[in-house]
Amino acid sequence: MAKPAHRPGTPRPRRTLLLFLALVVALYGLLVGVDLKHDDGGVWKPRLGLDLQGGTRITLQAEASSGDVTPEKLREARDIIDQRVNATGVSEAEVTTQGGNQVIIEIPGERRGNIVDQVGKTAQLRFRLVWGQAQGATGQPLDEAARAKAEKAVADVDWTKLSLDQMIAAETDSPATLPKQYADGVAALQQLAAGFQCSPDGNQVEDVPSRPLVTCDPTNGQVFILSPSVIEGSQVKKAEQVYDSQRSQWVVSIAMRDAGSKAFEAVTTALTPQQKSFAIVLDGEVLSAPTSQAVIRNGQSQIQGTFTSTTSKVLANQLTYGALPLTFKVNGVSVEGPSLAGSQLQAGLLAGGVGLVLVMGYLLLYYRGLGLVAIGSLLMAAAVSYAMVLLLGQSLGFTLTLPGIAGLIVAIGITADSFIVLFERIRDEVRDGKSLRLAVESGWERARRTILAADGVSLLAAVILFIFAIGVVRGFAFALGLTTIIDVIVVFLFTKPLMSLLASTRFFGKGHKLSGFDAAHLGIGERAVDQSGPARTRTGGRA
Amino acid sequence: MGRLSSFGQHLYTGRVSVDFVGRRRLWYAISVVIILVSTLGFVVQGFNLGIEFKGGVELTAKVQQADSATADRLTRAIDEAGVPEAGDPIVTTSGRDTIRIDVRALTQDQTATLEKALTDAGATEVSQNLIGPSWGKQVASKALTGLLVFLVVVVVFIAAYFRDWRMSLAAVVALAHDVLITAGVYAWSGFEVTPATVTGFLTILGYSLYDTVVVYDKVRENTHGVLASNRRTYAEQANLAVNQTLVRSINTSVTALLPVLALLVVGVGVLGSGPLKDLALALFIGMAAGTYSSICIATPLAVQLRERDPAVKAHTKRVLARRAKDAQVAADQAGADDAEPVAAGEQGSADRAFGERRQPSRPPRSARKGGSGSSGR
Repeated sequence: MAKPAHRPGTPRPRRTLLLFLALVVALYGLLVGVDLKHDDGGVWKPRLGLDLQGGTRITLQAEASSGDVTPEKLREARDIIDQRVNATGVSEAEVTTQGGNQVIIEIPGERRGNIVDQVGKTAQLRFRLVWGQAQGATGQPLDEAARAKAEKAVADVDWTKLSLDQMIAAETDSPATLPKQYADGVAALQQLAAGFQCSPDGNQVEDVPSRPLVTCDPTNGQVFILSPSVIEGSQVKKAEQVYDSQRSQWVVSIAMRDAGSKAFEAVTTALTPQQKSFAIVLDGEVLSAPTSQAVIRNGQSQIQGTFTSTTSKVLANQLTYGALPLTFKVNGVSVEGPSLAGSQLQAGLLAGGVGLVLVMGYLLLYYRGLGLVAIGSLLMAAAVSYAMVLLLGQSLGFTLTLPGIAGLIVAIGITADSFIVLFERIRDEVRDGKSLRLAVESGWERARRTILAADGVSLLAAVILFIFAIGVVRGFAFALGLTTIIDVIVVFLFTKPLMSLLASTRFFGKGHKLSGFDAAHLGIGERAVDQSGPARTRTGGRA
Repeated sequence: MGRLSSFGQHLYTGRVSVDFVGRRRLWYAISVVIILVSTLGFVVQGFNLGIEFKGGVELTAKVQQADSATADRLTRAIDEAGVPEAGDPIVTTSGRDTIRIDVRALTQDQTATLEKALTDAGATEVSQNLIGPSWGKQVASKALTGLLVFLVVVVVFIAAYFRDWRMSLAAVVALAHDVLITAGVYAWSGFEVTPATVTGFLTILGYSLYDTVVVYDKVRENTHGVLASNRRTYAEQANLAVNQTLVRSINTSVTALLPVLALLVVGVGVLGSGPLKDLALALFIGMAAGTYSSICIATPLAVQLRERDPAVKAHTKRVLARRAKDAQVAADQAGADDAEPVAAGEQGSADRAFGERRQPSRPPRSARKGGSGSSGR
């Protein structure tokens, strides 16, 4: 119940309006500055999400079985995957973590669903000894029951007691030389290998480091019986492709860490005299099974093979980045074609445009002259929102997605509501018999509280949505929260001062027929806006 | 429009008044019926879970003309692509030039084979979306956590702002009302439940409470100090608040629903499928329900709870007793009343009477200032 005397200070609408306009100009000035710095003209277009410009998005999910999924591990995995993606020659890929257990790879503009094979698949790299190999299956494929039985027989044996020497002996002599308690397991392994069907499209094999493994090399169909893991992939310090000019061929050079170097030395010492090989296993499939040609003491070795420039690079990448701290499974791959994305963008813009025009039409029809104030405010809110989307795109990498556009469209209504609340309050005050000038001030005092409380709830919703949501929902929440804040700024710094100024014009103050304040429109009969009956003695200000 | 405006004036003065608070049983009954009918939706019909919640591959093919002939051709192409895992694809046309094909989870290579088969069969561009079965569940479980946190925070916020936990409670009941109705209608519509739907639902939470807060704020204003005077009951003042914000409620819901309607029409008509229409449908129903519930559920319920407060109860009794006495006096002065309606009309805005004619007993205007906020001093 504010009385005129209690009103804090005299409002200075002109100054506030200028301040607001200066803010808007400053925003766009900032954009011009950024534009000049970058000089690629890309500043004036919002950064579009993949759903609007086309591209590939891969969602990798850390599996709970790979131990505790800690933020550090996830970040480490993200970095490795990032390197790996970049190593494939994709320049603009963005790799992010999400939701505490996911890594998202986004490659704009390109159809690179196949990249999954290189980044999503590669998870666990191990070095194992070759206990036996054959070209393809030597017997009939096993049926489900027989395979499950053999796998169980392998799993039932405790292989962890095997020493490195015993494992090496099993390769250099024969797996049959292993102590008796392993006989059943070895028999089962041979049974599995005999019936192993190698698919070039990938083989689902459970790769448990402490157990032997039956698997194959999908590129050539070789089936292997492999020892438990002797060196973990995390022991690889660095791998790179090197061109061996003497033999004129590509090789991959590997540098091991200390523990890996020692094991590698032991293995190569035993294998080299007999020209035996070891296998590099990646995610349960044999990546390469090079023959040991020299004793490696310092952990520096080379893998030779029939490599091309590309394949040696791929192998080097896989060796270097192969050891992720977590196991991932591919949770989603979406490849959006550019024209589908384009039509989504168009549809979003169309809906936004139509929505805005409809709202403006309604406001004009109902509020007449006042509607123009609302439309001006909406346009100001739109201008500020656009500038913020551009700026945040530059600074925080905010991308506009389809849900984001939907958020902006929904915000039209919530923004317009602030004006409606204000207008209705002012009109109520006018109905009470106040002059428009007074009505604007006292109506504002009431409307302000309502607008702040209501926008507070809306902002709260957006913030909580943003914190707890993942994926598309976030873009929506961000857009909603942003526009809610902009709404408050526009109402305080633009709409209200503008109303104060307009109240002293003849058109509005005298309640012109088209102003939205005419007596008939307000339903207050014949009396004019500023010559109200009952309150005539109390309304000090005249328009 | 003009009519709505003067209607607004009548609502403001109380000359036209819908008894939202008093006839709460009617509104409750209407809501219960709507809720029953819509919840029947997810009992009978169930939700049509999108591929995000089931896992699988969604292929979107751009074609010249999306008709059943093209759809058949593409279905045949899938069948003959030599990927047995892609059996029984669900093929739907979407928009004028897009065909959507849902198949079970496939590997990348298998998907690539299908893509090629589709391109050979005349699709100009194929987009693919491979989704693991847990993806949608994660979105949903995250959303649920967010929902719980949001509810707690908002309940505290509203209770603190209005200094009245009953308003919080009523607002949350109204919120549940909106969500149930939206969920039910969504189930009936047969639209797919996608992450966009979840987004829509979460937005409804915000909007529904936003709208309720606007109405509550007027109730707070009108009922401020109501207990100090014996002129009107708490319920009457609250009802006046609802009526006074009715025009705003109508205008706001129109301006909020128009853009959403545009989204819905564009989503269904132009795109045919995709997040826009899922989001828009959820929002459209939710916002409409939210406007209704702020007026017909949240406020009457808050008043009903408030009336159990002994102080309010006693006050209401006092006001009614005094009114009965006044009516007695008025009846004794019969005859003098004939001119009253005119007088009330002249009073215009200043008169918030609910049809009561007690001019003689009105205290001077200055004395009423602090009392009933509705008159806006």
